[in-house]
Amino acid sequence: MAADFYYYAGGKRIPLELDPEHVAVDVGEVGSRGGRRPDPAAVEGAVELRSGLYLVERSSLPADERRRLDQEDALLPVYQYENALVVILPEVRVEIAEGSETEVHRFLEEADVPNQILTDKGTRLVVRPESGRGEDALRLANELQESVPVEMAQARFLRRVPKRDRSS
Amino acid sequence: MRYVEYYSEGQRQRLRLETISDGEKAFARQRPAAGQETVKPQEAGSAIFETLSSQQQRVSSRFHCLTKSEAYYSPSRVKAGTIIPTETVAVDGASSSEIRWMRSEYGMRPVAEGRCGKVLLIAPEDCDNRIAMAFEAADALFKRGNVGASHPNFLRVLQRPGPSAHTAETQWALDNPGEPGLIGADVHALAAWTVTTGSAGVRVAVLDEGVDTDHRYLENAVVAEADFVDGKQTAQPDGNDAHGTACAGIIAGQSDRAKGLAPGVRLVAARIAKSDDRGFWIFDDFETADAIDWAWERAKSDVLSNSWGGGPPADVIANAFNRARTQGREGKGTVVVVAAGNSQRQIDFPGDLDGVLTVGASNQWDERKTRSSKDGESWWGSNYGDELDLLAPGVRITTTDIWGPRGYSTKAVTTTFNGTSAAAPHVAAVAGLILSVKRELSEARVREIIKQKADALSQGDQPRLVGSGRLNAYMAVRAARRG
Repeated sequence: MAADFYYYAGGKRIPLELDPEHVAVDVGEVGSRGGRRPDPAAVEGAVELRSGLYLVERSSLPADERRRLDQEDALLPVYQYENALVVILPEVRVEIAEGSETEVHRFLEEADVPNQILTDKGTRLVVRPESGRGEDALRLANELQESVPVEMAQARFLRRVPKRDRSS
Repeated sequence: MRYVEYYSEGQRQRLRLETISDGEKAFARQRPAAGQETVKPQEAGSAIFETLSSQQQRVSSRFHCLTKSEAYYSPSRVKAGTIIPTETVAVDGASSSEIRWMRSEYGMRPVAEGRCGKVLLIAPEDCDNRIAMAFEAADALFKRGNVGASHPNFLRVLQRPGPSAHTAETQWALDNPGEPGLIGADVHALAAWTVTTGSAGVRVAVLDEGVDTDHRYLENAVVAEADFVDGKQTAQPDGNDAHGTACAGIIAGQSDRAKGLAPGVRLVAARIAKSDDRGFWIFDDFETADAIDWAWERAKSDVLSNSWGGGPPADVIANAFNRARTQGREGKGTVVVVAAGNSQRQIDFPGDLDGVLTVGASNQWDERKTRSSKDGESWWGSNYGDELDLLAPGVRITTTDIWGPRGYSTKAVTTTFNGTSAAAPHVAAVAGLILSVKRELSEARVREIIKQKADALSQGDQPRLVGSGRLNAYMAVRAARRG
C-alpha cells in the first residue's frame, strides 16, 4: 500500500509518518490574519522551534482551539522519521532541469495547489502555496517531481533531531 | 629458578621461570627504594595463583593438576603482566603422522583442536615434570621440521585496561602517551607538524549550533561568520550550546591547553542549529542548505566540517554539498567532512551521501568506539555502514569550551568532549593541512589521500565498521607533498 505522506529525495520516494501526538502552531500566521493570537509558550511542554513556531502536544490543545487554529491555517502537521520529528513549512524550492523553464512555469500556473513564485533565479525558484499550509507545499513538490522535468522540488523541512552531545 | 628454551618465529627463545613459592621468596629478598611502591611478594604469588584458580574451567585443560609449588611463572614483568607455562604444546600445521610421533615418543596427546590446523597436545599425567616435558617435546617436534610451529603453550596474565579513570589531561588524540590507552594510538600530529601546522590561506568551516568566535583560543583564527538561524551578525551560540565551539577548537585551537590539529588554518563559522534545552537540535533544511552554499561560495571555505545529522534525507542539502564539491575552490572542489553519528547503528543523513568523507570514532586503544569498547563509555557507539570512510579520535577530547557555567566545563577548555562530532573535525583539520601543503589538489584527491593513508585497525577486514582505518595526519601530509 502506498504511504499517505511521502516526498522525494535522491530520486526516491521517502515515506513519512504523521505524528499523532504533536502539532506545530504558527503564532505569526494567526497574528498576520488578525485572529486571536494563542500563547503556546503557556501550554505545558511547548517547544519553540523557531521564532513564532511552537511544537505542542496535540492533547494539550483543546479541540475547539485546535479547530480554530486549523481554520486560520496556523496548525502545521508534524511527521516522524526514525528518531526525528519533521514540520513541513509552506515553501517549496525548485531546481529546474535545463531547458524546461517554460514547462515548469506553465505547470505552476495551472497546478491544483494555487501558488505564488517568491523568487525566480532562472532555473531556481522558491514557491509558496497560497493556502500557507505545509501539506500543500508537500503536495505541490510531489506533483512537480511527478509531472515535469525538475532536478529537485522539495518542501521546506524543519527537523528536530537528538543533539549529538555525548560528553562524559 | 630455572631456564627453559623454545622456538618462536624461528628463533631460539630463553625464558627464566620460577615457581610461585620461589617467587615469593625472591621478592621477599628485595627491598624497595624509599617512596617506591613495589609488588608485595606474597600478593604477587598469590595473585597469580588466584587468577589461575579463578579460571579453573579454562585452565583445567592445560594442566592435569596445579599446585602452588608446581606452578611456574616468568617474573620479568610482574607488574605489567606475566606468562605462565602450561603442560601443553601448541602445534601448527601438523600432519597426523607427526601427532602420532608425539604420542609414541613423549606420550603427548591432543586435548583441543583449533582452526586452520592448530592442535594442542598435553603431556602425560604420569611423568615427573609435565611442564619440562612439554618444553622438551615442543623442541623435538620443531626440530623435525615438519610443522609450521611447535612451542610451549603459555597462559598470559595481563593487566586488563579499565575504563578511563582520568580525564584526558593530555591531548591523546594528537599524541597518545598510553595513559590510558595504547602509546601511538593517535593521529601522529607531532610528526605532521614537522611538515605543516596549517596555512593562513586555508579556510575550514564549522557548520554547527554556533561557535564562540570571541573565544581567546579561537578569535585570531576566525575570518568569517554568519548566523542562519536568527540572522545575527555573528555565529555566537545561544544558551548552553557549546558543541560548535568544541568542534572548532579541535581544528584550530590556538593554545597549548587546547591545541587544534591545524592551528595555522583559518576558521569560518556558520550557525545552522539551536538546541531546545531538551536534548534536541532544531534545523531548517533550507537554512542549512543556504549555510552550505554561503560557506563554499561567499566565505571561500576549502573544507566543510559537519558534526550534525539525523532525520530524513533532503535533496536541498545534498545538492548544496554537491555544489560545494564540484564548484567550490574555483572548481577544484571544497572537501566535505561529515560525522557518522553516535547511535551505533546505520549512518545518519547526511553522512550517507556520496562524495563526502564520513567519519566514525576511535578510542585511546585504537578501537572502533562501541558501547562495549575499553574506554568504558557505554552510553554511545559510533555509527557504521558501507558509507563509512575512516575513524578518528572521538573519546574524551580536550578542546575549547564556551565560558562559564553554560559549557561542558566552567573553564575555557573541556577535557570530556565526545562523539563522532569530535572525530569529524580531526579529519577536516587534516584536509586543511593537506591543502596547506598542496593547494591545487582536487577535493577527490584529498579524500583519496586521507583514506589511503589511514592506519589499518584490527577490524580492517570489516570496512563497514572501521572504514579504511584510523586517521594518520603525518602520512596524509607526506603523501600530499608528493601530490
